[in-house]
Amino acid sequence: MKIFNILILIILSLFFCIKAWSTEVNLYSARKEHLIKPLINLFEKETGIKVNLVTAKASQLHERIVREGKNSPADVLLTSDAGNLWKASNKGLFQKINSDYLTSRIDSKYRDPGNQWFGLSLRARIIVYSLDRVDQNELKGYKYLSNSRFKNRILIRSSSNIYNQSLIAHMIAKYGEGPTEEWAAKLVNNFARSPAGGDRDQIKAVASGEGDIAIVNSYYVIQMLNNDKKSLFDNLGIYFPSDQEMGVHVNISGAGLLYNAPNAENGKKLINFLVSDKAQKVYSFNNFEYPVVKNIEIPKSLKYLRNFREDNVNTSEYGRLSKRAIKLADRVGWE
Amino acid sequence: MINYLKHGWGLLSVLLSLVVIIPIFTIIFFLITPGNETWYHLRENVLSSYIINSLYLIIFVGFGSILIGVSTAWLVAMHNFPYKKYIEWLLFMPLAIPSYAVAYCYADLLGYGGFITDNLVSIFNSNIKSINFYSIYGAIFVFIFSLYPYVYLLMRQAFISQSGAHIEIAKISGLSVLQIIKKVSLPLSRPALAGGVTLVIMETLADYGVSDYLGINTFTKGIYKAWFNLGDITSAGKLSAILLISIAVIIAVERKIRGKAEYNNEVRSNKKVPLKKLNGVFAMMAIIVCVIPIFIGFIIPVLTLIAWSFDSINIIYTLEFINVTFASFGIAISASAICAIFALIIVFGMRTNYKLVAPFARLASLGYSIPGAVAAVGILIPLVWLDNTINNISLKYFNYSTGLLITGTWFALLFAYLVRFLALSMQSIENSFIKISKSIDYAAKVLGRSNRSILTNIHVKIGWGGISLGLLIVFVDVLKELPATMILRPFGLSTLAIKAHELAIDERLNDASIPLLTIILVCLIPLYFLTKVIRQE
Repeated sequence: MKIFNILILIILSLFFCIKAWSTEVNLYSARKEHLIKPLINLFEKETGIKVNLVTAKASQLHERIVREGKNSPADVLLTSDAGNLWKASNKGLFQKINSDYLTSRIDSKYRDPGNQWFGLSLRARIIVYSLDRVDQNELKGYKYLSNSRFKNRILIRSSSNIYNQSLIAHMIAKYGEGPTEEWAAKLVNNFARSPAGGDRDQIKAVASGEGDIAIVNSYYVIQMLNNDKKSLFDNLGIYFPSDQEMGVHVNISGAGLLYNAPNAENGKKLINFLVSDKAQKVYSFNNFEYPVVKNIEIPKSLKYLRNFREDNVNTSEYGRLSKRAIKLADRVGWE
Repeated sequence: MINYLKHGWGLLSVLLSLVVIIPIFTIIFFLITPGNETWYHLRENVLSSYIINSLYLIIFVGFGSILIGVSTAWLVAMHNFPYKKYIEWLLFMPLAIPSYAVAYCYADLLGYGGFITDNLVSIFNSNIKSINFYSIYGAIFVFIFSLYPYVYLLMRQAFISQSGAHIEIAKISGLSVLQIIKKVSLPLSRPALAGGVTLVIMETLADYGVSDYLGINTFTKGIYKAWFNLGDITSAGKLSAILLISIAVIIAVERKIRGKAEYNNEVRSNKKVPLKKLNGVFAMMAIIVCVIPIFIGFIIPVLTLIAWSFDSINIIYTLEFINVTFASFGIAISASAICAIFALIIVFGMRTNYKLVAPFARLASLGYSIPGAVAAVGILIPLVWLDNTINNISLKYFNYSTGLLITGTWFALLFAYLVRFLALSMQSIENSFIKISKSIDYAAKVLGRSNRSILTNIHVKIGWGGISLGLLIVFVDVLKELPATMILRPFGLSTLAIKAHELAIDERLNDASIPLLTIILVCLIPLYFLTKVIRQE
């Protein structure tokens, strides 16, 4: 029994030790550890502030923060997709950051209008098509993909994926819900197969001839073209969909400072660090995303893919309209 | 007081079950919260097709795993044939690969530029560039070959511990082999069969990774859709509660049909079932039957993973690999030990006082059917409540804020594993205890043994095979567990399963292969000890 008591003492003292740390910041991240670890290492080296990390899916982290309530240890929430950031701020998880540094470096459409969250990196949802079976003149904006000429030719993953939800939300913001529903219904009609797999699987399916046109995120394409099996994908072309009404759908990954952050100052330092030149370069060189700050050096493979017209809708719209987007997709039978 | 002592074991079992039941009830409570707009949307538009898909899945996966699990278990337990020593344990190995990884492997092998399709093209000159694996058939295939070991393991244990006398009598009565299986062996091992299939079905229903990747809309995908996409945890909770209750009903019905029959070895006989030696063609056939599931469920995926790993061996240096491996091993060992202790006490309590303990025990083993992420929320809610209570008391009397003491610690994580995986140890321990005749308990009592002594000196010793089997299964499952670990883990803790998943979901399968292969290697450690235990028997 004695050992048992001692054990309890040790465990209890451990709890208090954990609380005793001071120069640290607690990061809840929906971005995977291997993507952000290089950034964290840089930050720790530069500031001497220790980063404690937990990763999980965005909604799981939301739930954990909500349940932990006012005693939550989390300082910063890092996640991809503006939809997830909007949901967190809508639940009141974030606090406002007043920082000229952040607002001057980040374009207003890539941050929260109330400055509760900030975009850190960009990715575009683009088209990969078969050079053999598609004439580039056939391609226009996203809207045109519902044209019946594309019947049985289009590949895209499930609507349960947030990239697609944000795209649909963007379309709603641009064209209104009715026209978007009509568009989505026709698009589903044009699917080459029922949606499955990830973005890379859609690209592979174009290469194998299951379909002609895949809608995917930009960094996947670049990663695949950097792969040693790239000869398999020689017959693929890349297109940035835009027309007069709507530019390219660009999404962000971003971060916000949590409302109950116990180490708020360190949290702000971390977010500031993530938009510094050094950190921005890591995003493009390691992950093949576009830096959110302008005039940052980017790798060659990204350069020729950077000349496109971004749409002007504020990314927070993706979140505000996401529920409507999801339900719309359910109604038109986009699996 | 006397009454209390008399029922001491029963009460202790009830208490331990209650600890596990709290999170389960937290989820059931979602049912009585009012439905909202999301709930109605799901019900109107998608729910019925989700249910049909799930039913499809469990029916085919259930039958498939019975077919493979029972036939291989029967061959291995009742016969002797060449290489059986290895086959016996290889048949277990598919359990060591997360099902979603198996899905990734086959989708890749059959997809564009995959090994199988490439060779089809060159050997048969076919012009098929890819075979579509993204379908419900693909999912059924994956689940059968990665989950049949549950049936196999429990049935093997059941066949081995069957008294040879039953079979001898059957033989003397002139029954053929098939008749013996049908009329003697299978009915005698019905609890094990029901147990194994229940585990397979619960795991199939709780799965998210496979159905998400293959694009099948299952009930659990609906749960996650409500939560992850529509941000509505209440509807997710409701759906989980429905899932839980349906499974409880299925289990209850099976037990009702089984009736009051007791499945212990009343026929006293030291005689083990004599092993039949298979020769020639029959031996070949036995080997083939056993090797097919090993090949599909284990060897092919492992070879694929190994091939992938060549491209990314460097990742070992970037993943803090040693730490992660030790951490995974540590939590898996502690969780399996805790589950075993709880299960031992509860199962034994059921034996001493069935009427009192059984309902609690059955409820406590439902945790396995809750999708991991939802279970995590069911755990988070009472834990944070407890933390806040402690915090408030401490603030009031000592003016010191304790913050969240338990939430976000190892303790919370181990508790989650207990809730999720208690069913696994209970099934295997119950199946081994069921074979111990009650007359042994009575005899020991007459000789003045206490209940504790009966448990530790008799049951644990006789049922050691089942106990270690339970340890092994929980160990492997914790090693693979993903969502609950992700949500509840303390800062800085990462596991092999999390690493593998993060890389895989990022579509970096080559890199994911290294942690996946390590999971398999780590599984070999307890497996090695289990073979020793069972050899000694």
